[in-house]
Amino acid sequence: MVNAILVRDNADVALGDFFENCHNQTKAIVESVGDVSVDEMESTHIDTDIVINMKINSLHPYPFLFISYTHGNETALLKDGRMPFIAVGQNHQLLKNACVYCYACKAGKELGRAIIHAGGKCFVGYNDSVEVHLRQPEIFAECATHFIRSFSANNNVIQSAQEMKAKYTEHIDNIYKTNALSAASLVKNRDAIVIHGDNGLSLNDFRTTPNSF
Amino acid sequence: MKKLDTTIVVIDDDINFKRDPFIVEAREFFKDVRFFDIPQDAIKYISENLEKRLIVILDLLFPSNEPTGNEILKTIRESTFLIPVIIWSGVDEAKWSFPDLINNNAFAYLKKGASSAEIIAKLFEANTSINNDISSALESWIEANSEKDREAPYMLTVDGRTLSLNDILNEVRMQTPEGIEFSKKLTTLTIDLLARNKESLNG
Repeated sequence: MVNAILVRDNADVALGDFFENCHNQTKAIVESVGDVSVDEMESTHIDTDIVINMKINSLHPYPFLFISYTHGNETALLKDGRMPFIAVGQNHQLLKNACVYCYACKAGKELGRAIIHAGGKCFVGYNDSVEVHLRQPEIFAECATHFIRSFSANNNVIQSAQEMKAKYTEHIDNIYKTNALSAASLVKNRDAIVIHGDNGLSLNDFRTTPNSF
Repeated sequence: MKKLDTTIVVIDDDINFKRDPFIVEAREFFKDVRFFDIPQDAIKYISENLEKRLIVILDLLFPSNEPTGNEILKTIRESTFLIPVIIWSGVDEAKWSFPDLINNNAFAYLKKGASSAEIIAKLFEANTSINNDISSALESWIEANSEKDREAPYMLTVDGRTLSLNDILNEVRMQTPEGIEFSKKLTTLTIDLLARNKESLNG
């Protein structure tokens, strides 16, 4: 059994629909694996860090997946683009034992490093702003969720990150002649991908015995 | 010889320059050369034709009831930083204010006594700068979209703002930090495509 916490800020005024779409794709992907137990958290659960702290504490100290589609900054994941619900110096150490994937601006900088420093297994995120274009949001969502698609196929972290980069490149090549600005943003997103921690881990490393909980 | 698809806008209150040899010569190279002796007419023409490739030749000294060249340049820059503006003037350089011309990104300064060859050479230089300017390329790409598409929400910024292509066009023309970032991203895309042999410099 693999435990997974899926977080999205679906009530965000600007990007709520996009985050929800990414979440739905991610949920379908991980559930198709067969032995993944999914805990879903939406905007109302991340108004403060209380619920998420309880949820993560319930998994502690077992390995788990933490997948998040929200705004972010260098030190935190944010609700509404301003309220931290996972932050350096606040509760980042709760992600000890987690494989973390965050589609959030800049969280790959300090937050990702801090989580690994606190004992996190691996962190995949973005060390710069990430962008979403509304003319073709499905392309941005497909790229954003591709790490999880690959990781769920039991590729390890580095292979999955490389496959995600390849997916970005595939779409860049498909659209740059007709939509150069979106292609340019895909390049920006792709080149901001960053990995911290053990990049050789795969989904098997997060399986616990059925009686662990 | 095929003429270049760039419009030259000359702004000078002395209508005698309308028949200046450089204007006659410029018409051999450029599709459209327009002379404006009233600055407001020129500013109106420029603001209504921002989608065209324009190069402005601008005098500095106008009658007291008209704006100075400095003020005209400032007005142009309130709409766009992508049009090269060549200052062409006989003012006493010791008595004229030049810093704001530099701040407003004047492309070059020519004295009124400059030869036709010098002025034409400077026009070609300005034309090349438009060709090589990624911001101008981005402007052209956005302009090629329909007005409906340009008004529609196009992208979301990290701080939650929704931008249409027209918003992006304005950022690019004004060369705001965001507009410069768009141009930078397009340069990165170009380098990426070249590096992976998806495109070549020979087209």
